[in-house]
Amino acid sequence: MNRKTRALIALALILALALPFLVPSGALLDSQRNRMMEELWQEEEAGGEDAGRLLNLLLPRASAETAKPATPLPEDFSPGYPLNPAGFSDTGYRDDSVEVALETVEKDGVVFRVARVSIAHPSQLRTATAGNPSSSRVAFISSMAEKNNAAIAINANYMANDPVKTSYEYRMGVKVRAKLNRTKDLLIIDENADFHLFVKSGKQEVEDFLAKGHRIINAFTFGPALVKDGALLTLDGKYGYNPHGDEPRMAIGQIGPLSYVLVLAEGRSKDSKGVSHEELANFMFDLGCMQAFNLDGGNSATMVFNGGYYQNKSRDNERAQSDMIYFASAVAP
Amino acid sequence: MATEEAALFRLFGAPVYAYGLALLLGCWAGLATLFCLGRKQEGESKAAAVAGVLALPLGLALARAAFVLLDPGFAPFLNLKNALDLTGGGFAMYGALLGIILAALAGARAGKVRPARMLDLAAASAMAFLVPARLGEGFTALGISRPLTTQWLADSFLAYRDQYDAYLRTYLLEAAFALLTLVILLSYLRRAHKAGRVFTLGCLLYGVSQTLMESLRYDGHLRYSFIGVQQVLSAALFTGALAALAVSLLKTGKARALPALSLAALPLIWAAAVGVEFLVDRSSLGKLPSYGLYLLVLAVPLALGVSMLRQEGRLAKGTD
Repeated sequence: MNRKTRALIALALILALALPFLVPSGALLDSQRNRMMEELWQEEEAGGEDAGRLLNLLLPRASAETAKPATPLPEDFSPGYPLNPAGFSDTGYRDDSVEVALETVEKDGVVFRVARVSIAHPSQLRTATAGNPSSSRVAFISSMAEKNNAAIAINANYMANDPVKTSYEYRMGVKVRAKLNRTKDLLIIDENADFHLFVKSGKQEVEDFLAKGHRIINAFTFGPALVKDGALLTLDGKYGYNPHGDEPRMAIGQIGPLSYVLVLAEGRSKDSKGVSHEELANFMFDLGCMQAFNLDGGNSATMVFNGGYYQNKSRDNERAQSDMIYFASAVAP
Repeated sequence: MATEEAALFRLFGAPVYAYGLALLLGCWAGLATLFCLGRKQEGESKAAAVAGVLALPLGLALARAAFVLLDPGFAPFLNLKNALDLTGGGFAMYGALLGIILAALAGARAGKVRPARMLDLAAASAMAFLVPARLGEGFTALGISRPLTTQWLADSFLAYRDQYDAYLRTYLLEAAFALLTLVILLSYLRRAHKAGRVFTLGCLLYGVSQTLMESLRYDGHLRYSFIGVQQVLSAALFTGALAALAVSLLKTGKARALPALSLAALPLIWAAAVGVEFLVDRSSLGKLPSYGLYLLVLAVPLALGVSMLRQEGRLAKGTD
């Protein structure tokens, strides 16, 4: 081995010393992702794209009227109050702040799991994420439901699974992504826990909505929107995820102020064939929804109640997901 | 497991990252393996030295390039400034491995050594690099599975627990497989009948094991919905190795059945792997039996590849 070769070997060993200073992780750090997102949003806002959001900051926040006395939950990712074991029955859960009524409906060869939920305060409609909202972490909905004291929980839109990340997502008031997707519908839940649907994520509509002084607590890009302002929508026949096929589906609807319905259509089994988007829309409309929105379906469709599944599912085939929607109790123990 | 601030301490004001330290150990292990294997011949030692110097910058650059170009999560932020900012993480292991291969080929050219021989040495060195590198993932957000449903596994040292669930530390398994592959390759280096066959065996072993590991991993790294880029690359790696072996055997004109069977089996293996992936995601069969089935499916290309290597060896010795 000559001197030149030895020198090269020494150089190689020394070059490697840079690695501990250069490489923090194979994964993109959450802090870096957040920084890049902030920069992207700032660029867009500088371009005037989201002027409505600036206006939103200047306008006073609307306050919700509460029908029953309850302690509002904080607008963050903290769990709800522990549930009262005496509040559970075979048909649901009830305490002074939340009522869940479960019902199984069999219609045209499809098993629908229906949960009607009433809450006393908007803060009881909550979301949880498996890790940092912008991360790719996943967890079982059943585990997240248990740890967050959910009276009932369902999957949301599995936002970490969206490969292109062109979506508009808020979770508990935190802006996670801010790219309106013109091919997808958008559900925004405001400070009153009221639903607002935006077909094809209409930019002008979203800006108009924000200009009215609303705050976004949760936003989900998925869809399609099924029922809007009490009217059954004409659905886009080319919408994603097999719109005409019979599939397990999950939908959330608002019937009135602080009154909601969660619907899981079971599928891919001999007992229940699943539904198309149109069949699901009709079902939600018949339930009396003023607003209804399709969430992630297939094996993602998960409804968790009282430590178990309100559907034909086991932990062995539960799909771990990044986020969930749940209703919590506002009654402090 | 650190996801946000992975710095262990600061040295002269600069952060020192735990994962970077693991990569440093990996590099030193890889370089030591390369230099030791190539030390006996002047040409090889020169080739190894050149490859060693080039491997680090090439590996780092290609690992970064592969990540920024292939990770869907990075796509909205893709610009030169963000791509060149290494301090926030974001690297793809296959890019690093490609860097090692290119460095080995450049080294072979510089040292006037057969490229196939340098690839053999690089294959073993890459495995030596991977052992600490994979262990280092324990300090990052990478290298964990879906939530575990098998209780004994959830209670074992292989599990990592967070506020919700227990997850398999797949990086430990990956490090163990890399170590095992290293031992096999080092042993095969002495017995290989043809230059380049250690590299082929390395591609086969790493491709097969990593196909399984990437299925186990569920960390969102380089993942398009349910499809992991690195899993597809792993499957392509063992497919390429099998196809190369089969074509080489067919060209000899002395063996037909086994290479033909191997080529015919490839689409079936892919189909079976896709089927098992669906089973893992949707079936109530349970993850453990599903992965048992996956092992059986992946044992097929491994068995075919090893059989072809043996047959080729026997033909080379004139005993077949």
